[in-house]
Amino acid sequence: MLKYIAKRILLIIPVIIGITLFIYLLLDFAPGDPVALLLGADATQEQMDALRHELGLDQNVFIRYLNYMKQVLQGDLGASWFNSRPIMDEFLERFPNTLALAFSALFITIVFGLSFGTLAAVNQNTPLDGITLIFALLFASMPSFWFGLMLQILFALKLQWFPAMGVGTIKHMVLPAITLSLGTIANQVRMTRSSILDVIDMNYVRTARSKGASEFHVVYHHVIRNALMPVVTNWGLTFATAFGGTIISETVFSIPGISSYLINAVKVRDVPVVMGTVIIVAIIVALINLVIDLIYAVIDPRVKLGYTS
Amino acid sequence: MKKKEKAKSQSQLGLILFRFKKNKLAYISVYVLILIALAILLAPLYMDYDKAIKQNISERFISPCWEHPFGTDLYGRDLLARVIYGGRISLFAGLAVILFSFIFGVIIGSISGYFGGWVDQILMRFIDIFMAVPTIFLAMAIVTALGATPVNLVIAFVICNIPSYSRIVRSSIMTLRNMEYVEAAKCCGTSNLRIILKHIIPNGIGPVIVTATISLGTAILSISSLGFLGLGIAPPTPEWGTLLADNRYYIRYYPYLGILPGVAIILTVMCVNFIGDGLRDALDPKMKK
Repeated sequence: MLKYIAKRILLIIPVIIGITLFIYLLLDFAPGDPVALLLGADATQEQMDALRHELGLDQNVFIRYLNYMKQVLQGDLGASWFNSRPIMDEFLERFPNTLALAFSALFITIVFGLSFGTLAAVNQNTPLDGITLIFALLFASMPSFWFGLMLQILFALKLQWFPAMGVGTIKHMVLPAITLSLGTIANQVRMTRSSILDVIDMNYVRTARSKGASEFHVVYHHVIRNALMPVVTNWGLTFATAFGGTIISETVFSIPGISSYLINAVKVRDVPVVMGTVIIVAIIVALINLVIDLIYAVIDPRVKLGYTS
Repeated sequence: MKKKEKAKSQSQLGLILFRFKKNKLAYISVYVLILIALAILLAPLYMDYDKAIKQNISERFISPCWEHPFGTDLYGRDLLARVIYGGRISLFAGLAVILFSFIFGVIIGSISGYFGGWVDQILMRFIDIFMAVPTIFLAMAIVTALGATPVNLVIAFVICNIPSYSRIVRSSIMTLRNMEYVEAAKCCGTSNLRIILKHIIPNGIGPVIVTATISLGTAILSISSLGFLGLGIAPPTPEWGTLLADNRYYIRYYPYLGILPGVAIILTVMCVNFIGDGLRDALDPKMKK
């Protein structure tokens, strides 16, 4: 097991190096001179050169990348070009909001995905099954920004059941989390349904039925437990998708999270902030996948064997 | 029984078509999507582009009526014209994204899956790198660097899509690689390129086509999401995401501004998804239980 964990962790390192190098080079080749942008139109050449030196922009791009990564490894993500605030501070302030949002969405997705997926599979080929699948497809076809806007207008502005924007209470989280789960729920329903259908005809299920076990007992103890494997592994991907989707939720509901931080930085081309956020997101997604893989290895011994032998 | 005989006498393609037609929703969706595509493609023939971009403050916020079936927006532009012309970017950029991702995905995936070994290792590590960040983050970074034009938008999303396509192609080819007919071809001295083109791709393409269809819907939604965030197409060019963002603060007073464009997007994407679903069942009858 230790060997597997070590191997799995080592595999993350080249991925992180690759993605950061790619983003760094990409943002470096981008047109437009950040120094000119920062100082405004009436800056002198000397001022520009001084600032360029201060920001380290007069060095080779690879050297800059190495220096930057050295800094990052020491836990320092640099500061914003625009308000000079350390990115780490801003990040720590905003991160809890994004994390809470992504986890609430994951929770909603799992609860609704599992129940409706199971319901559809157990009632396979009935109208209930058909309606569930059509609704899942309808939700998958909605732009989440549109859905969020509609929820906001209906439940916050018209009915005033929930606050329209910002953070603070659990009530603030409801609409953004529902908006966010829109993108993942349909997939969860379909995945649950098909993996349940995979096991529902198995011999052990038939045995359980013939023993006279109740339908609930059969579905809960024999079917769902065995069908859950592929569904659980998918949660890592679901979480990553939800994390990406926070961009929309945070914009529509004005939530101060890391996604809205990224958007503002992208709009003004604040390179250190874009870099910092992307690195952090890459690390988080990698860690989530690591955890899911480890859980998977614990549940299914075959995975572990595949690595150790 | 009769139906079965009829199906048997058909070619592989005929059989797939036969099964596809049985899925009513998917079959109707094809026609609806063709209608939408025609309406968007032929727009210049029956609708002035001016209507979609020319501002006319005296005509702002006209509710849907004969002259403006979708009403007008905050600058007095005809909303139907904006939705139709906006569809050009969303739909055709989406198609371009799928086409190029498909081509690159098939190339990378087949090389990786067929040769295996270190070639596979190197390509897959690269793919891992691009899968490390959620699509929209990566697309945003690329669009920032390249600038927000339709072409760059397509490039950004192609880069984001290549990894998943390559993986699907790779895994389906790895199962085909050891098939007897491939071994037979090898024994006959067939070149690698010919084996890939003639034996492996035709047999492994099914799941990729299904993925492509379903991801067309996702691509349309992602492109309009970037537009909504203000990172897509620059105004005044109409685009589905930007036109909703423009009217965002007026929707609560004039609900048609939000509902009608939303329905247009949902209808289009839903047709694409129904077709994708139908194709999956038609290509792989085992899947449908």
